[in-house]
Amino acid sequence: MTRKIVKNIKLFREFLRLRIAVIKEYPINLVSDLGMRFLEFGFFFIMWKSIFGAKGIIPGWDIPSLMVLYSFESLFIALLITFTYSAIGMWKNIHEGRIDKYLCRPTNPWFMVIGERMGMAIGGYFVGIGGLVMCFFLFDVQLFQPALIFGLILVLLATAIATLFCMIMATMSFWFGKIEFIDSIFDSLMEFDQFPQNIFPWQIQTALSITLPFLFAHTIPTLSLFGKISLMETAQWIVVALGVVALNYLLFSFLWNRGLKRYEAHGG
Amino acid sequence: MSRPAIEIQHLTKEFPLSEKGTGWFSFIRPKKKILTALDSISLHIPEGEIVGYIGPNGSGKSTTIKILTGILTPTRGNVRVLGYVPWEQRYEYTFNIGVVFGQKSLLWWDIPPFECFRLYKEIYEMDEKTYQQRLTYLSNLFEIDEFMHTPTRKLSLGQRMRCELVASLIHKPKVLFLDEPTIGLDVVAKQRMRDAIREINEKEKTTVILTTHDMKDIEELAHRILILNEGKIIYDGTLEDVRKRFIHENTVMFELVRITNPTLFSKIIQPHRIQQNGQTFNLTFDRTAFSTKKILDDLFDCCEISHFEVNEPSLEDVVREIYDTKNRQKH
Repeated sequence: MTRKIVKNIKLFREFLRLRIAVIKEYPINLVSDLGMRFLEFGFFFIMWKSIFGAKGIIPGWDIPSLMVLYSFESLFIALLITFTYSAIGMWKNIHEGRIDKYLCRPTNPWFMVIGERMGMAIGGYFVGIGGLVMCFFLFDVQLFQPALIFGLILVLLATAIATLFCMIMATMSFWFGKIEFIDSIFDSLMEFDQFPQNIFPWQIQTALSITLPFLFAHTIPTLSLFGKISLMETAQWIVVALGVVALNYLLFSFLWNRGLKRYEAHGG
Repeated sequence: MSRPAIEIQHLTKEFPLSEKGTGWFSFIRPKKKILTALDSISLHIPEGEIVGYIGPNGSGKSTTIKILTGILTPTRGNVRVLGYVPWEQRYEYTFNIGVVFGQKSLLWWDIPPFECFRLYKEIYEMDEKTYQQRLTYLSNLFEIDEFMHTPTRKLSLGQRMRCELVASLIHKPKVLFLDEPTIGLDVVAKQRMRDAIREINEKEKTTVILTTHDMKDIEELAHRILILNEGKIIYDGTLEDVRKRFIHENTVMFELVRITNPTLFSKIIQPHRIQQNGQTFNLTFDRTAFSTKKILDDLFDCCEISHFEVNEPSLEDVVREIYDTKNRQKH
């Protein structure tokens, strides 16, 4: 087990090195990514300011907290681009028989596919971290507190949940072949990303928590940072998120192992 | 005889197929059909052997390779490669094998092969010193030194395939599976690949399983050939045997200046098939009943000949004949 973890860390380092080599090959992508993120950040700020005025239209939310929410969201989206987007496309690899080259090597096919395709999303990380720092200077948001650490842990757990959800969906390809609909499901769920999740009914919050958990990714971290929920409550949310990760992982392992036995390696 | 690297007993692979009808709602209850890709094949391959695994498209070659490499799970049968059951002990087993799929690249399109080799170093858990030694050896053998730092997308197909082979041999596998490794390559690139594969086999006693449609690959590399048709092995033997068993005719092509003894000439050509194109003749005869030397001696006795060649059918012709015979028997 330890051997595999060490190996995967080394492999991840290699993937990062290769990704940086690709960025060096096409620097224009980095420039456009950064530009787009800054534009989006500005648009988000103007949108909320125009719609709600200075503060208080949604109970408990104002411009500073919405900007922090957006910063966490940027971080989450960047992590989705790095890890989750390639998992969404995995069904194509399964359907077209393109996981062969990973299955015949001593490595995990998922790790290889995610590593090979991970987007660096440097703009997203930059705006996420930069947004938090900006909120610290502009709105006097207290960043140096345990709630920030808890918040970042929740963002990572939310990424794990979303990635596992996409992996679960992709395994459906073993049974149903071409499952283009999962791209649409993902895109539809992404529509919820810019809004505080506690404004939605509990049914939607629950459904999103096991698929694309914006609640864990930005709402709880922001509420925690502003002291609207206690540190203990935040820790409880971390436990809940861990539970969802475990649940999704178990379901994924079951489907993957069953699916591999059905794998037909089409395409030559 | 060395111990078997690969043992296969009654290997069967069936794929379920759904036959969709033409009606609007036929997708609700499609007809089920079973496609038997491999039909109870058994074979033993000793260590260090190069086996040419050939057959027409859809005969089951790639399915066999995919089962032997742990990609597919068979429907029935037993397989042991180097003592492992490939699909059950996939992780440990795959440290010992190398695989090249001619149509599925191991390299990253945008970055140089050299960078990818380092990724494979980590996948196969190699230490730095062993990796460097191995890379030096392979880059010399495959002559990739001058372009392995160039992005893959800028390489020619031949250069890329050589890099693919280096990537699959970097960890010194005991068994190498090559699924159409020379597909699309020019003659020079093919020859270079064959020479390198032969050297690896001779030096490292690597067992090589080669599927290809290029009979020249088989003639130059394989110690033994297996011919597969419709999921069954229809021939298993040496190249020499296949020639003896299936090649019954030779052709003598000669360019005639003049006939000095017409009676003898008629007598010589009478039992055989002859095709004439101007002054060029093709005389085809049953080589099991007539000696090539005797026919040539007789021809020189009755004719003045400016040029001659003795041709036996190529392996490609032989294989085509085997497939056709089997199909005729079936129908």
